Amino acid sequence: MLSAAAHAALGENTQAVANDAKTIRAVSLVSRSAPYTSSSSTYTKHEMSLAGGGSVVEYTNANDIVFALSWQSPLGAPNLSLLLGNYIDAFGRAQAQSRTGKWRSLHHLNATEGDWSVVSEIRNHAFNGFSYLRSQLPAGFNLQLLSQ
Amino acid sequence: MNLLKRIYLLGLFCLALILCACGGGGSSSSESTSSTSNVPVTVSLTSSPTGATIGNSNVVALYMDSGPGGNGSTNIIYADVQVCLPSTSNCTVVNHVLVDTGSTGLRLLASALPSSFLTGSSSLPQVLSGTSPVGECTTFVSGFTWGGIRRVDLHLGGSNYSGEIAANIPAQIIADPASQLATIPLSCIQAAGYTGSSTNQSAISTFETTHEMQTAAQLGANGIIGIGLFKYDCGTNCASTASYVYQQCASTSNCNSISLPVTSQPSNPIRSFTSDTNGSTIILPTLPSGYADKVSGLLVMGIGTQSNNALASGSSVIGALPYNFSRAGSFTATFNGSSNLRGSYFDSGTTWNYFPATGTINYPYCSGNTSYPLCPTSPTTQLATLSGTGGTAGTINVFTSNVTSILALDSSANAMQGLSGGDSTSATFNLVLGGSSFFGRSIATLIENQTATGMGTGPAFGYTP
Repeated sequence: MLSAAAHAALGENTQAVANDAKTIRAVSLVSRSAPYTSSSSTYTKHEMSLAGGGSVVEYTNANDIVFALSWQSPLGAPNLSLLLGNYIDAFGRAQAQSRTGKWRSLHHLNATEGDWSVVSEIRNHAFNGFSYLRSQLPAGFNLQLLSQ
Repeated sequence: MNLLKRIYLLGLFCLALILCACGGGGSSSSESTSSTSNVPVTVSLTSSPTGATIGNSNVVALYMDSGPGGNGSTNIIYADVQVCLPSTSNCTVVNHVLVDTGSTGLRLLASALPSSFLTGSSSLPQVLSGTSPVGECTTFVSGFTWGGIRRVDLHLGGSNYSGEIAANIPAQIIADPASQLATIPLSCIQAAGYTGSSTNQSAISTFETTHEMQTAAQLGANGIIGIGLFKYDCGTNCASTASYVYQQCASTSNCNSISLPVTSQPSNPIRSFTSDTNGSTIILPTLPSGYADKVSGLLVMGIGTQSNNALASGSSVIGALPYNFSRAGSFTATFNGSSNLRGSYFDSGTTWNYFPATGTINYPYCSGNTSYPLCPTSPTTQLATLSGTGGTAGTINVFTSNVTSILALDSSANAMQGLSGGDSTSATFNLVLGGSSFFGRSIATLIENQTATGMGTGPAFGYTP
């Protein structure tokens, strides 16, 4: 059984999308099938509006796997640990590097670890970013769609 | 080896001359160095485009070095600030305060202040909610800070900090020793990414020690002075909606999220001076050798408000998106074959440049890295085209150095011109012009709703090419 306690989204299935919508207290969840672009890429886009303004968008592929998500919020972080799921530890390692390395930033973080990539920004209390799994991207998916 | 080093230095120097020649801006620099290795390279700004100089009431000395206790990093711009108990001459100087154009408000480590400022009857007055102190949780991409909000008089510029006073401004005191603020609220660490149980003290403690920026070693500075594009820390969003950002703390482990009026939020210190309040300009020298151990520059307060702070000749102006927009404070860039890099910005709170690493030129990562830094075979300059709000437009040369080569010459370099990172996927949506783009330039930050001759209305950036 796919656990209802699956609180994570990235890399998980559509059930996790619904869980995320509940847990982040989205005020709406709209799922639509693609194509959204001129390409023949096939995916479904799940748009969640956040109560404080802002939104989270999760993308599932033909196998029902969340292969990417993006977020933007003018007031505080969406629960990234929830959305990034199993990749939160990799995110923590990227944060540590951004905090202690020679190439620091208070406002911009990007990291790639194996199959997983993330860009996270916090400026003036506004949050935006995205994360995806390269091996799960549908053929022809335009990564530029992830920047909200 | 020494010959190679000299050839390399000569190459960088020629490149720097080229950059200077096309850059303009009217500043000049001097380098004291030696061909002997392990001798510190110091680069000083010897003149500024508008004649601003140390001692002017609106001018603050900036510097890069190894940071407080050697805990700094590359390309962090520091200033020393004086803070006083409000309306008194009881003052202290805090050194190594990170100058950040990507945030708003003054944040100081409690450890950098005398204990008399923090406890006792004549300590810095707390901002209260009811009778309880207000704490603030500030999340940065790399971690978070937690501490009380207290009022200070901030003195900057002039001779012996006598230039400008921002009186009675709210500031975050990171790791404030007030007993009510001793425990970092769960909602704060959750906002910073904690997913574990609310009762697992061991897990909470582990998370805190790996994500908090509560000490000089963790922050790389003794504080942050946020002099960005916006007036308030969180602004009207946090004044109308309770969130983890501001908390009323009645007692230890008893904090509750509150909304907080903007007048109690940490705010842009520039806006609280009595003159020169519309913005500021950071001026750093170019680095003739491409790196340095020490760099000195200037922060000039006010833009076009005095004879010494006009927008630098030859500047371009780029309007930025206003508060509450997605990507507030950003403009759009075209760079390295990618157009529509719509979350682009200047930011002294980022030490490096960031951009799409593949395109017109494929910039390789330095050996053994997968995200940054970049190591082009030879130092590379490429032109970016910027467009902002109100039809503003300009171009800027983005210089990328080979970090491995610089580290081979000076493994402890605290400043590197052209330090860059990038994304080799096609997902990148921004060109971040961080600290490594500030060398050899005057970069002006015009605050929202403020005007300056030659810049129009903020939020906007001005920069010399």
